[in-house]
Amino acid sequence: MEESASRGVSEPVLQADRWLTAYHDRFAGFNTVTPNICSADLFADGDNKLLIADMGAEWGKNMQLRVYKGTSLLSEHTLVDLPLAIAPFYMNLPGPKTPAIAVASGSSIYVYRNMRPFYKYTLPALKVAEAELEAWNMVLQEGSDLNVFRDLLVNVLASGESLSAKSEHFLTTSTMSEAETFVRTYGDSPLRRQTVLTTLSAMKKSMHEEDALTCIVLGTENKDIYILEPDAFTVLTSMVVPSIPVMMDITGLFDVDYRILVACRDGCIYSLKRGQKSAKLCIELHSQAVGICARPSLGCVYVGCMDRSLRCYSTQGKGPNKYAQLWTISLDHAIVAMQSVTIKTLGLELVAVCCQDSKIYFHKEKAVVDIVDTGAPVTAVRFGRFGREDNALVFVTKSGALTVKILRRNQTFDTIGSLESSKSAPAITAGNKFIIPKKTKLFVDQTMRERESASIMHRVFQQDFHRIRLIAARHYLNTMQTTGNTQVRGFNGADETKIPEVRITARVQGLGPEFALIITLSCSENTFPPLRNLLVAYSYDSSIYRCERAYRCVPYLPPGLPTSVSIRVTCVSELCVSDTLKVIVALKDCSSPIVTALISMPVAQSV
Amino acid sequence: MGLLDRLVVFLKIKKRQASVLVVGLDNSGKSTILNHFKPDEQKSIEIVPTIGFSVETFKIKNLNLTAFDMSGQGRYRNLWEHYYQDAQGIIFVIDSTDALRMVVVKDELELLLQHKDIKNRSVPILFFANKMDLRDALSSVKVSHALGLDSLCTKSWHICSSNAVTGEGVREGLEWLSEQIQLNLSNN
Ligand SMILES: Nc1nc2c(ncn2[C@@H]2O[C@H](COP(=O)(O)OP(=O)(O)O)[C@@H](O)[C@H]2O)c(=O)[nH]1
Repeated sequence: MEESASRGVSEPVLQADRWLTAYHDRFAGFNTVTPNICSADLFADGDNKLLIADMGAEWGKNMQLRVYKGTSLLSEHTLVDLPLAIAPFYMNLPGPKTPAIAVASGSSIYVYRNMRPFYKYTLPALKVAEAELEAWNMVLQEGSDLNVFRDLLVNVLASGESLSAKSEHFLTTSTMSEAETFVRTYGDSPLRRQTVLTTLSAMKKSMHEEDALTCIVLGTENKDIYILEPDAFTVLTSMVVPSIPVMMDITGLFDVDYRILVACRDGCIYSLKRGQKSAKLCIELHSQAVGICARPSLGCVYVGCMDRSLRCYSTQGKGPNKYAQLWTISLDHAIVAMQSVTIKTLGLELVAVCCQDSKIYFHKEKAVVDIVDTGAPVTAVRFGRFGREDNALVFVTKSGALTVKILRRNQTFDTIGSLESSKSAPAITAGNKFIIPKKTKLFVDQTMRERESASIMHRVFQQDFHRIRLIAARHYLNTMQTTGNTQVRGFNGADETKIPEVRITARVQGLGPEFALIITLSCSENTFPPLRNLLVAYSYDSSIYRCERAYRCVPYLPPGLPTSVSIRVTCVSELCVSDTLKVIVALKDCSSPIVTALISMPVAQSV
Repeated sequence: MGLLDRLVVFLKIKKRQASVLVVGLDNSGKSTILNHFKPDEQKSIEIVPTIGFSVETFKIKNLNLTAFDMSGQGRYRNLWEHYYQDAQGIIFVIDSTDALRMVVVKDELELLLQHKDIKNRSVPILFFANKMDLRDALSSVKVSHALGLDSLCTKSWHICSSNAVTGEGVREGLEWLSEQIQLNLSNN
């Protein structure tokens, strides 16, 4: 015990110190999102591989599923369609228990086993509307009018039904001839209405074990949620949500009891339970969800929203208490990704919130307990087992870099006191009533008085206010007159102000024809007010000497401190003569000099 | 296999006890290396009950060997750090195929070196860059570089590649360690 304490003191706990950078590839070139990263024990050897589905640097070109073993790339698999999400799942097949990988893209799920393509599951086709079928039957007959056909299709849409892709394509044709060609070429092909996947997740079937049979849960653009059985890919349960699902959070077991929280495009979160056919509205976000992490052990769910808020809702209790908001904090930056972080060895449940400011904030409830700098905004983040390390944080940033960080083993997360208090401050407790104190008699009286004699109060205030300004102006003027301006007044007018005494000394350096003339000015220590804006001018025979400047300015002559100016004097005379040079010190804007000096220059040596 | 014969004989003459720690992350091959020490005729293996971490201890005459995983967080560290104080030598086993966790090994090594029971004592450290037979194994030079051993000048240390399964490289390392321990004990 002693030891760990003393270590804590000798090594100040820096944020970055909690994590060791195990791997960093700045040029990995990933373009991906959180659902496209997962880790799985692919070969059942206790060494989890990292799988990342890449959407291609150019969106839809060179899409790949990359598998990493530790720090090395194990394999790459070309994907045919834009990946939406990937998930490992266990099937009920003989042989070693190795997980299969489901890659959702378009309207299909591509299943890999032993990292070889194994099966392609396509979403069930949807019913094509009667009216649409009739319309196509009509248009295929001779002499049909394409405009009428177009109207018929539009009517189908107007009645709230969706069209098949073929009809939608037809409606996008712009010219008559284009439309005719389209009908001629594709008229005979069957009408199929296909929806696309929007989200994919996994749920254990009857046991919690890591390698237990896993069901696949998916959401579609058609507002359906399907739960698939992993061996034959039959739909075990289908459910409907009122809007298009975007992300899900699943807790529980399929055979026992489960709850799926579905965040939808209408900014609401719905819950689905075992045995329920349709969804129940539980949370209205009034914003879009960026991430949703249920923490069953804490009895709450964290939701990160696009309006920069991190919210926490209760998932316990009955009636109105269920899904009541526990707290909201507004963050300084937009949330870009979220991930739940469970550190089993510490018994900690955190949530990692990646923000636009290129940082990952680890929240323990409202408080921030750690911050990781990522260099660029994170686009995808996962926390979990990778390799043989349980607490690995994997993230991909906007610049395409891939980083793996590992939590140091001797860390605890409850020591950042200062951070906690500064960060948890802007808490808005919505829904809670404000406690408003009772009105006192004094308050009531005061309000009455203010209402009755508002104009008098205003006038009195204005009067006092002007008076203060007047006093301030008077003092200002007074100060101005007793300091700087004295001099000006003194010399211009016939005032009795003494001319402060300035002493002048001069030195000449050099042999010629160039000389440096150093003039030192000083005045006595108790000169008040100090002299300002002094001019040092020279007078000389211009056939003999030339000065670099006609005068020099000394902006301030500190009392008691000698101040030097140096000028360059050149002897221009061909004859070896010397002359005197007159130095005049005067105040600016004042005609009579304070002091003058005659300096006899030495004879210049000819070059 | 009496890999530490000379040391054992030395200890006997000197009537001294010595203990050697075998440490490393999980799966690095500690148990596999320890198996080489277990002389068939004197198997006195004590099994310490698992309290969040497991320690394997056995004795060859006057020499104690203790091995444990450097895994787990905070709480249990104190339990195994307790063994540091009477260690005369340390065998640090590294899985040289686990490039990902090399930082973790480095971190653990730094913590070990800074520990009060190790810091100011002369304890020789033997590093086994284990699993050298595997394809993606890092060379012992790379491992020592990754761990920053080049700048470790407060302790005498030695690194060698090993294959714990066949015993390759294990003898060479142990000879060095025996010498160092004998040197230290004679000086005291
Ligand atoms: N190929 C190879 N495998 C090894 C080597 N050393 C250990 N192993 C294997 O690595 C695994 C872990 O070894 P173990 O001794 O249990 O590691 P410990 O957790 O550190 O005690 C076992 O499956 C060993 O067979 C080696 O040098 N080469």
